[in-house]
Amino acid sequence: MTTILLFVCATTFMNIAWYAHLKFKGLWMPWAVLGSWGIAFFEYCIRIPANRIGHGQFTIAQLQIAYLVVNLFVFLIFLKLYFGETPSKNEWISFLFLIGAGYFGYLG
Amino acid sequence: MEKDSSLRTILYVFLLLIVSNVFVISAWYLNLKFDQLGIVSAILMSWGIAFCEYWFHIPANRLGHKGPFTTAKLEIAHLIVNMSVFVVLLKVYFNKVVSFNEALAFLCILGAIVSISFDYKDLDLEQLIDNQ
Repeated sequence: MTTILLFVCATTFMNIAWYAHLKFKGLWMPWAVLGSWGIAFFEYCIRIPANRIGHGQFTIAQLQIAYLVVNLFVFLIFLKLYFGETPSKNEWISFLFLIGAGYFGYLG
Repeated sequence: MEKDSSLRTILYVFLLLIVSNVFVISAWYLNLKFDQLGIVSAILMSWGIAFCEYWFHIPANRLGHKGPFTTAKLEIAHLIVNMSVFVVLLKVYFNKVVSFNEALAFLCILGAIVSISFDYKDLDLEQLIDNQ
C-alpha cells in the first residue's frame, strides 16, 4: 500500500515533467529538456524508495503493472478535471480493464 | 509525397520513443540489481540515467506533435513502447520472463489503452492548455 501511494505521488511529478513544457512552446529545446529533468528529480526521490520497498513483496513485473495502472488512473482523473464530464462507455470499459490488470497483476 | 513524410515522422517518433524507454526502464529498475547501494546513490544514479531519457523523449513529443500525432496518441504510443521494452529488458537485466498472469495483466492494460483511445484520439493537451 505504501508503494502504491508513493507511485501516485511519483506519477504526478512525472506527468508534470513530461507535459508542463508544452505550455512554453517558445522555449529553446535544451531548456525544456533540462527543466523537465529537474522536475523529474522529485519523481526519482519518490520512485526509487517505492521500488525498493515494493521489491520485497512484489516481482519487478508487478511493480511495472502497478505503475501503469496508477498512471492511467491519474491520466483519466486529470482529463476529468479538465472536462468535468461523466465517464463515457469507453472509459467504463477501460476502468474494467484496469481493474482486471490489477487483479491479474496481484495474482502474479 | 505527404504520406511519405508523415510515415517517416511516425518511424522517427517510434525510434526516439524506443531509445527513451530503454533509459526509462533502466532508470527505474536497474538499481534493484544493486541493492547494497545506498538509497541516495541509487536515486542519483537513476536520475542520472533519466538525463539521457529526456534528450529523446522531449524531441519525440515535439516532432510527433508537429506531425500526425495528438498528445493522446503520443501517450498511447509511449505506453505501448514502454511495455514492450520492459518485457525485453526484464529478460536482459534480470533473466526473468513475465508469468502467465502478468502477461494477462499487460494485455488488460493494452485493452484499457485501446478503449479510451476511441474517445481521446483527437485530444490535444497543447490546445487544452492554450484555451485555459
